[in-house]
Amino acid sequence: MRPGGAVQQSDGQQAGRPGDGRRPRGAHAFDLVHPAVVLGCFAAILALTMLAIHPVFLALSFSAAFSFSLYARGWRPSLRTLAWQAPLVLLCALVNPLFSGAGSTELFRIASRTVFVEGVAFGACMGLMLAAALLWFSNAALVLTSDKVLGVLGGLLPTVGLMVSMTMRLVPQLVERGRLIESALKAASSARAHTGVEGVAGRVRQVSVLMGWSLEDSLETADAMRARAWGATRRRTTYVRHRFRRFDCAAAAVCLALGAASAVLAWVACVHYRFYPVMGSLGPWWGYLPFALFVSLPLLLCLVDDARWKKVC
Amino acid sequence: MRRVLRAFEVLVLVAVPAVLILCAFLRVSQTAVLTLVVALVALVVFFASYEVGRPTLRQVMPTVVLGALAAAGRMLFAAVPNVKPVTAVCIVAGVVFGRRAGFMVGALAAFVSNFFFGQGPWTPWQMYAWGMAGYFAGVLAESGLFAYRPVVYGYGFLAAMLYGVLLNSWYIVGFVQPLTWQGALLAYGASLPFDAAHGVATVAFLLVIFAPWRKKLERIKKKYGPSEMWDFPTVTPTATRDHGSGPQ
Repeated sequence: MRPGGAVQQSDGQQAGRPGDGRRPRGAHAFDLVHPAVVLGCFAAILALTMLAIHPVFLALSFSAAFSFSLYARGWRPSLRTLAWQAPLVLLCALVNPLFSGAGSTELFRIASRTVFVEGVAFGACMGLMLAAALLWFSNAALVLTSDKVLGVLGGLLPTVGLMVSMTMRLVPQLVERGRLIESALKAASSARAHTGVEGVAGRVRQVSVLMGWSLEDSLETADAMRARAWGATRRRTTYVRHRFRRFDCAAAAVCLALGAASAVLAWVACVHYRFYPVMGSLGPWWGYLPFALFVSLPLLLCLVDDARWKKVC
Repeated sequence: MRRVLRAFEVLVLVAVPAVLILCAFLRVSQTAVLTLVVALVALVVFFASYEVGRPTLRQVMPTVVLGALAAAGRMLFAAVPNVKPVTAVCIVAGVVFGRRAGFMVGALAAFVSNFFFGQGPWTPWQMYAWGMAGYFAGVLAESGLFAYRPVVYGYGFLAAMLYGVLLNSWYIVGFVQPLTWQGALLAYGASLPFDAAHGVATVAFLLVIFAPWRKKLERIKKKYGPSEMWDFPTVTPTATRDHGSGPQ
């Protein structure tokens, strides 16, 4: 959860290269760009992936997501992901024709239900979409740490942002306190549980103690925060770690232009493409170029950053 | 403004299942994304109206603690499929601290625990579904129906089942095309045992925690001040001088 190098950007580059095991490879490249731009870019890629139900778009998105995963996480974890995603795609491909019976090219029949090629193809595309979306989610989570996300969203929803960060901090604290209560109860060895029912009752009491303790403690915290002028002004200012520079403007403009171009082309392609009753033909190849470029932006950024780093060394 | 947002909040919360059903009937081709966006918008509108209501710290903190407890409980029972204490905790929160706190507990628990379980397109749905479980618990408690303990347990079972139905609906409506009635029923039927297990687990959790936690929470509420401090936001009229950096 913690940012690997909670230091200045320039320091982070030097400190974290290249053997820093705490941060995934490529995370440093994303320190160059404002997190809002990164968040927007990943959100747009995700939205386009989920909207464009078209074999070519989905294949492009999946391959870009997988190659980024290869770069950032390495061979072994990526292949492990693939090992459970491939059956998922297969399952979607098989389940769809069972639940929906449409199409024209008959494949086979199972107990009065006909399985068509088109149904399988649509199911496979949906499975690919799901796999690509999941991969993009995990890729985004690699480079967008929770502090970056909260930094972007916390400015918009300060109270909710505070609540999220407090909850995240509380979860490990609760686990710790649960252990403390358990050891305190264990110390009273004469009151230990003799039967299973007593054991369960003890657990319930333990959680109840934990709840009461944490709640009262949190209310003390609330009073302490109030004493430190929480809520004294209409709007609280927050520490801003990332500034929106000219480079970020340019990056946002590039993302916006590429995203818009690929959105329009994806819309045109999807309107002209059909799964049922017969699968349509794919359009010209240049129609997929902006989308291909857009989904490979994250990897390109990492590669460019790597090249720059090698030049400096 | 606040009243408008609150009315809007109910509208948006109702809109999520409405759009889902509408998409199923109209056979919209981009249902998966469309309904996901509607769920996200509903969450954002709810959070915005929560912000505008300027909740006091004494409203915020119990919500945070219960959300964290629910998230920790979900992680504790991660090994046992379909046994999730989150629904039960949301219901307790909704009953004791009101519907808005109930929603926030569900949403927070889903969001935070998914950093452990994995974030994905299901996150907004879980946030919404658990949020609604807490929200309706608050509504029912206000109407006085929860005075009868069996109603609470019945509601817990139903809420857990509806949670499953909502999450399945997104998959069925969004990902199976073209959708037929038989196909949808087949899919719902396949997940019925899992949802029922979740429902039974929720009732079991409620049996164990509902009465004692409610009593304990009410006692803490009484201990830490009069009810106005819980119900209304305190607006400090004068801006205090800068006392250095407060907690961020």
